[in-house]
Amino acid sequence: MNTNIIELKGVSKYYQDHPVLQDIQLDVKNSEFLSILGPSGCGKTTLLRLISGFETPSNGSILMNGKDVSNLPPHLRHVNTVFQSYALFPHLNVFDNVAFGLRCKHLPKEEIQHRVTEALRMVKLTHLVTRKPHQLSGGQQQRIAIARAVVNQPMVLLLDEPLSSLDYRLRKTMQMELKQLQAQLGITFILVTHDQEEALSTADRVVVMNHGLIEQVGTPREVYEEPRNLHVAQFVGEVNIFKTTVHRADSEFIEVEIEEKQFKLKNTKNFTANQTLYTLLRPEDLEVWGLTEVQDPKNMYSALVQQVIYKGSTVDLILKLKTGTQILTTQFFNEDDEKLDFRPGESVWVYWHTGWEVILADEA
Amino acid sequence: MKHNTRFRTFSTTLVWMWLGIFVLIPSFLLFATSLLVQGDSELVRLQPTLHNYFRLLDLNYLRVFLRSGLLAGTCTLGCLILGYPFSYLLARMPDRYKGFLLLLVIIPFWTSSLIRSYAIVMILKTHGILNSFLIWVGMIKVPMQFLYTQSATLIGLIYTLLPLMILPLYASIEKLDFRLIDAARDLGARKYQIFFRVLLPLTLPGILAGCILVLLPAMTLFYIPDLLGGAKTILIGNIIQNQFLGARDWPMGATISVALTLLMGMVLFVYWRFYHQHRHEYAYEQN
Amino acid sequence: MNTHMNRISKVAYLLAIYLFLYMPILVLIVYSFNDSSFSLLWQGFTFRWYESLMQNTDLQIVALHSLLVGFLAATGATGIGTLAAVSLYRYQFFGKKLIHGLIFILIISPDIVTGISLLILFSTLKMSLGFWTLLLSHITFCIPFVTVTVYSRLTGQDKNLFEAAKDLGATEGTIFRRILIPLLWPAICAGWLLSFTLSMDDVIISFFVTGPEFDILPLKIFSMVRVGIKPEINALCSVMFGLTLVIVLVYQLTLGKNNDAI
Repeated sequence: MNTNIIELKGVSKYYQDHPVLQDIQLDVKNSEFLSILGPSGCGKTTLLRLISGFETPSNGSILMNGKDVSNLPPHLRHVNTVFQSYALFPHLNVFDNVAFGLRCKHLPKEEIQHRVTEALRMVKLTHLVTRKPHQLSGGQQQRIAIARAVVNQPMVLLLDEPLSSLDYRLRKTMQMELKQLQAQLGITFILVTHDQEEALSTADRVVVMNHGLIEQVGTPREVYEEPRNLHVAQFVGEVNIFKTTVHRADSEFIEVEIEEKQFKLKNTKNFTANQTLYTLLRPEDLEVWGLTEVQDPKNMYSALVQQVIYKGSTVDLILKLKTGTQILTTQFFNEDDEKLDFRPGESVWVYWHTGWEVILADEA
Repeated sequence: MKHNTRFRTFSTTLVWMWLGIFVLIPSFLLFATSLLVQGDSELVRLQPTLHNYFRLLDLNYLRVFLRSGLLAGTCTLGCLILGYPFSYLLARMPDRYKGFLLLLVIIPFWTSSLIRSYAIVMILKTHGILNSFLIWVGMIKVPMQFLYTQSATLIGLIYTLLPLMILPLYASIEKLDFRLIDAARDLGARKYQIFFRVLLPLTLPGILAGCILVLLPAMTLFYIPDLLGGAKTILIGNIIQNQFLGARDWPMGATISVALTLLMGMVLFVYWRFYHQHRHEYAYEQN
Repeated sequence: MNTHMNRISKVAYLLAIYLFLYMPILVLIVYSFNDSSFSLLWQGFTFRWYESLMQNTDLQIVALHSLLVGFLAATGATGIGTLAAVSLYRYQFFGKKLIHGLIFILIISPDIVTGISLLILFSTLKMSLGFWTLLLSHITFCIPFVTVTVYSRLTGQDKNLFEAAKDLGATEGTIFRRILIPLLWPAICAGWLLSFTLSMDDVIISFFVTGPEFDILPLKIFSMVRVGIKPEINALCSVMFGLTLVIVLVYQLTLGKNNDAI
């Protein structure tokens, strides 16, 4: 039973010999909230346009519900897009904007009335039917754009960085609303964004892209806790990267040197001796202790506090190790560890739990 | 400080004087003349009357006005139909070509319309280019009468005024947010639906501006029917010209001119009101 | 496949319209080299119509008239028009709205209405029609074009410049001479070129306000054409078209850097 609503098989896209997308393989599951995450220019918008039908692939094919739609024009696919700029028709009021797609299909008046009202109710803007776009706030325009797309009952809803022009608070609210809306409608959402926090908090699965390639596909947890390469590790959240040399390796363990300290770690990816690796530690994986708090600093790094960044719920510290490497740590307030009151210039101990790290091979 | 305002006074006085003498006063005189009547030995009889305005309602006049209006209207429509696709394609061209292509439209626009009309005469004459060409290809045996017909005048008018339609159309289409067209396609609109529901309404200011810019000259460029149209084709411009030079009935000529100006003023007022009301829709504030 | 056909038909349409616009003029130019007095069949290449043009003293005088009026009218209109634009933009003065209105009336009035209004004026003042009436009329109808061109460039300027100058003690006159004119120079030049072209090409207004002693080129051509086709007219028109071409190119180069205004 094929539960993939969209399948991209070996899709590439070139603009005048310049590759924008290279050999993309992606399966989108029915009713999932998928997020495509990547920096500007990584090809994510192009990918979206290929799905919606505004571009045709140079190579490969796009299937929807098993049918090849690679060359099908937009109005024949059951896909609708929420544009980054909303693209509301300025000369039409809210009702006419939302009804636009239905009118093009020549649906009967009563049905249009019913469906438009429903859609507006879903985005809680029924009271604004007669307004024109320029009379609406950014957030309201956003919602109308969503209503206009959703009212056509598409199989898949594509959202091209829809929240990028909203302010922080509104963006957070809309993210939750989008999630709720998707659950309510039960259709597949594909959200394109460069904001990794947005991707992680809304999506069932995240597709991390860079330079026209898919770097990793996984749940938010997989992508954050088990990044497959350096790009994913660095793009999704903050990370400390330590160059690591392997002195000895067997099937179970590897003995490594990180910043002039020796460690024995699990050999999860069959590394060999003399290999150069990178050890990744998220800021929250590192514990910082004051000099007076630690009796036995055997496995700890000595470090100097360079900058203290108070963020309300957390305190970030930029520390400098004896070896000169700078690292970033995040400390959460909790009752067990009341000392979060570090000062720049203070000496501290840094500790990390072995087993919490992610080790990646050197991508030469 | 007197010292400081010297230039300002000079500047505003000069402008006032010039425009006052050469625009304000002539306008008054024009209106005043329309209220007078043609004199016998003198040019005018100094007796104000509305007689001329009533004469305007004469059937003969009305018939000519109507015909002239129809001709001007057809010309405007022709320019619109030819010009809109052209302006649209031009606006969609990649930026590096746009400047040059626009220049190619501006050149005929700046070329003396008399020269251009003369060129049309050359082509349409009995022993002109078109006839020579058609005979040469074998489509006709005897030269056809193209010149001195209403069609010739129409062609001449369209030919002269097309750039005047293209330029405001282009300006309006160019400002359009083409993502709206993408949005329409995404929502399932067919090509003709996109045109009528999105493109047309949003480029309406340009269309109206173009039509107004064309309609007026199409009624008053009297030398085009003179060269191309022969006796039967007359524009309102020809009538006015005739009144002044032929019939020497200056007041009547003035009356027609005033009526024309008033009509034009009304049209412009309607346009202004429309634009003012809907200006937000054409403001293109991107977010 | 579909988009390829699409592309071709789009280009074809553009080409067709361009052809429509240029064909008559190009035909004109081609035939100005045609070695035949009457027939429009190609008889061979020749310069003789141009030579004949050079020797036609009548035409030369008329051309000189046009150029003279063109230069003077353009200069006059540029001067007054620039002052008008600056005054409207910077100063508040009595009847400012009326001036706005008058310029607007000038722009939208059909040539014929402007022409007869001026005719009535000159007639009332009992001025004889000739060089002066022509010059005054040409300056008048060119003014709004200069004003609009200069004004639109003014609106793009930083208002703080004038505040700063005033703060440093400059009078309005100084501001005009040392700040405004250099700043607006491209627009002023563009306005001059536009006025020159409009003056050289004007038929309708000139028709009403000039006299038999002072004939100008467009009117001369007009009367020549009514009589019949003479190849010299072709040569003359070709020369004038060449002149227009040069002017447009200069215009684009001057204003081109800051694009918009046409």
